[in-house]
Amino acid sequence: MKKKSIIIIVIAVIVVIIAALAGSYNSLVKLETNTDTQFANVQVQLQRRSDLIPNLVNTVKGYAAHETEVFTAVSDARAKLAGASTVEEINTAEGQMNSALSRLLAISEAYPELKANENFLSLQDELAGTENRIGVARKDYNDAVQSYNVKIRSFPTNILAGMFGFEKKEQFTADESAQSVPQVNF
Amino acid sequence: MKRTIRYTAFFTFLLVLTLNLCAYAKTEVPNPTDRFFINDYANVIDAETENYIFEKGKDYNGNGGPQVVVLTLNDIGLSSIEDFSIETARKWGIGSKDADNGVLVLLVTDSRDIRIEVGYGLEGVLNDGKCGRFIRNAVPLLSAGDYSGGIRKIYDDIINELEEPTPDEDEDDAGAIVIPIFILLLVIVFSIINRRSGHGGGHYRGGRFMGGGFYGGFGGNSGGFGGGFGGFSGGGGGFGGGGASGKF
Repeated sequence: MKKKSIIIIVIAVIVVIIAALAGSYNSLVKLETNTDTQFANVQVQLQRRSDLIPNLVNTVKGYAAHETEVFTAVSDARAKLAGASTVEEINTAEGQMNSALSRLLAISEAYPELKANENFLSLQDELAGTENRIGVARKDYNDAVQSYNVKIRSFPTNILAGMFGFEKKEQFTADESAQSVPQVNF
Repeated sequence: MKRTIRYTAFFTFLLVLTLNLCAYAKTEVPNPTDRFFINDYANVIDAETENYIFEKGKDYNGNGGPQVVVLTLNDIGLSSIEDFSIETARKWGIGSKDADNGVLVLLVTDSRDIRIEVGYGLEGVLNDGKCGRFIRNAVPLLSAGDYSGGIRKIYDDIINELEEPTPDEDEDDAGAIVIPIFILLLVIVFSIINRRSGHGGGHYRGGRFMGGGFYGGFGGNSGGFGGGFGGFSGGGGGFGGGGASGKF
């Protein structure tokens, strides 16, 4: 009789422990999947911008065909960004892309007809909107990574994370150009 | 002497505290008013326009249509209008959770910024190019200080676009037009079948509403009618940074 109740207690304790472990394992999986989803979101938006660029370049070419240097810089940056898959690669490629794009848009200042072109204006809106979406997606990814990283490093989930190989993930950082002091216009 | 130092320290502390509070208090997202669709905190919209927007918003809300919300503020501190508007749109949960059909029009008077923030579900209909055009069309009015007129123009442009989407200017393949017509036909057929079987009698359900040419509003979800009597709120619609911003 005594033996039996001890066995029951042992089994109950094991069940409780397994249930607790399964619960925190599942929450780790959920958090990790969430970071993957958000990362995919960033890539979707980067792709979206990539798709916009040929249209934009062609529109600008129609008015300023001789600015070949800028067009080359943009297509180089685009190719580099297409090949980027890790957070770090995306970070550097994106910095290059941003500077190339701002040079492309700066061209329009010298061509009033281009600046007034409805198609160009609309492409510019799309580009700005996509830049904003990229920013939002990056921030959402960083938030997701933060809660995941905190979870895998806090006790007791860190033991589980170590056992099942959940590794710390990298966040996007602001590129150097974004860290410089913003210009203030009054 | 000691006393002066103590006083100086105390007042410096107070000054720093107030400055800090100012810097933070301004960037905080406000709560929506009980009229939800129109939140004129900058007090620049006349009563007629406010009522118009409120009544329209109420109608669409009852039909399960998109939620178009207007917010005006004097200033938003140090945040950019893009950051502030998405934070507001997400916090208020504009649009329904299923259709993500929310739109926020945000006007900031001090920095002379205007933004249209578009929920996921409406990004196809209200693309960035169109939003940018709406803003450019309203800028002359806004620059002249006619905030009611400018907001009304943007609001009507958005509503018109939602009710009767115009095809994209740069979209020239026929498929883009054939598909919506096909969907429309399907919807009409379905609504006839539905009515025959006595299903949709008198109620505005998803199918019939779509028949009227409304995008994003299907699903029959009320977009989150806020429980209490006369109170409205968002339904938890999602935003991803779509839309356009401008200066006036």
